[in-house]
Amino acid sequence: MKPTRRNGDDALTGTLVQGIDLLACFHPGDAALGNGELARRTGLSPSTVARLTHTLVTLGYLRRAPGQRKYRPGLASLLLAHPLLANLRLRQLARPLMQQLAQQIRGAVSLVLHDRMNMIYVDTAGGNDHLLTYPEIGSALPLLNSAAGRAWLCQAEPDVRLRVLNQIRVGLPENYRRFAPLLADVQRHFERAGYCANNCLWREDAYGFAVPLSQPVDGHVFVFNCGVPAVDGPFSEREQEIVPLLQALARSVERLLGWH
Amino acid sequence: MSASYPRGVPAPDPAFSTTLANGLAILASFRNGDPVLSNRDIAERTGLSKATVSRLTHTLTVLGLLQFDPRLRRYRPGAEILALCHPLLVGMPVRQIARPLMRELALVTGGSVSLGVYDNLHMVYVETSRSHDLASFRPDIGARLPLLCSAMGRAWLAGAAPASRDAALARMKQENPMEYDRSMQSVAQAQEDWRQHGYCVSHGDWQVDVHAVAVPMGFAVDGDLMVFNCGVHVARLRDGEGLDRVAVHLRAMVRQVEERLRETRPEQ
Repeated sequence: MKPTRRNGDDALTGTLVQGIDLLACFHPGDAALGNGELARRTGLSPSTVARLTHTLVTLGYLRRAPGQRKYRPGLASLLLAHPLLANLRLRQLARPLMQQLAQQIRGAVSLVLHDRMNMIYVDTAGGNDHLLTYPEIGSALPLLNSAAGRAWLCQAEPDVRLRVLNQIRVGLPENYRRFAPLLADVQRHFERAGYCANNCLWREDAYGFAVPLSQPVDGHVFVFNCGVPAVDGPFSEREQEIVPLLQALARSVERLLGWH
Repeated sequence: MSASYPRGVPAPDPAFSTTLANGLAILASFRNGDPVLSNRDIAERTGLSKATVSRLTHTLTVLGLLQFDPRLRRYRPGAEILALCHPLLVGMPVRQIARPLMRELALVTGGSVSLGVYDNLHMVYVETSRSHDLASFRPDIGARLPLLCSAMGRAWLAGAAPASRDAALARMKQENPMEYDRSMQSVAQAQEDWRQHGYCVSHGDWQVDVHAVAVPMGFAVDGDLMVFNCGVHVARLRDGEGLDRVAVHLRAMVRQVEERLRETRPEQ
């Protein structure tokens, strides 16, 4: 996906793209990474990597691991996230309701938003912190085979949806081939019932249910998402139990926002 | 953060990439709390030329780090910023372990409980849990607290290794001598509080209506001495007793976090 976004746009600033690519190549669970590994992951030359890591360390986006010539993510990226998180009154308003629902359904209730070919978690309430791996702020969900991604696609303006589907077709061809053909049915179901579901299509051990907010907030369409482990009960039973509660949550939050 | 190479002035250091720094400075210009900014606003805030700004905002938009609102003709922070934080947040096991305990304490005290890390003469929140106090703005993940006049900063100074503490204080004295002189007495008092009672306090020294207590962990994790605080609105604390009670709860919580961390990471 990364090489494609650079092609065909001469106006992109190369060094900035490279620097962000380098920050984005850290994965959860990585120990500190040296310049060699960073060069391998980004495809950049060792001298370019050295210049970028030097700059990013100076600015606080990376830090040197104690006693090593290796790097870990620094706190500066978190400082950038603060305006996004703190300005989201929606997140503050929704939190207690999400917490309550999470306990009720023994699962994770999340607020997610769209970012290019993914949905990104903004917040998660877990009724039981040991039940599922806890989706952290910033972790990603796929669009075509997660409940939240489908809900976003179904709600999006047709031209926006088409553009994003094209990006997926080019950037994630395998995912597109498998899941895009299901979208028409998903869309019909959404128009009838107002929610989207995912029966073990993303994680094979979990169901997802998702309801979008009816209008954008600060330009973002937010989606409420529930994830529950499949071992807790058959899909249709959990669907009947959870969907009305999730829809009630979304409508309560819309009321708190003064929409109706 | 961009302070060492401010306002797009070419850095004297040839190994420093000014373009990358300028792009990141544009993202940082939203930190003042403006929800949306135009290219012109960003040029004013960063000191970069409009041509440079529009080239960089275009790139940042393609990367998902900015979002362009065609109706307002302005930019806002993009969701990809959250994705950039993800490895950092996941790489802090204390957050995951402490989260349910922090939530419990927030409910018991009616305040907000946060976990912070020292960064560049500030403390930065990496996790926050609050009771349902929606009345006013409260800091969230990524918020920066001043080192010398917050309970959390003082607790870090009290608990840090002498070399780290001295280095931070020496830099503070050099970069912000007025704040340094004004705060030294409270910092000394905080050291004393920490030795005698095991916590540090701030009586509205940072946010006037919030009194806070803070407790550092007993050991560093991956090189960071992390600090917990609990801030309670002054209206909820009827007398001096109130804050002591909060401190007792907070200390107990920190001991519990340390125990749970030792269970998962026996080397601690």
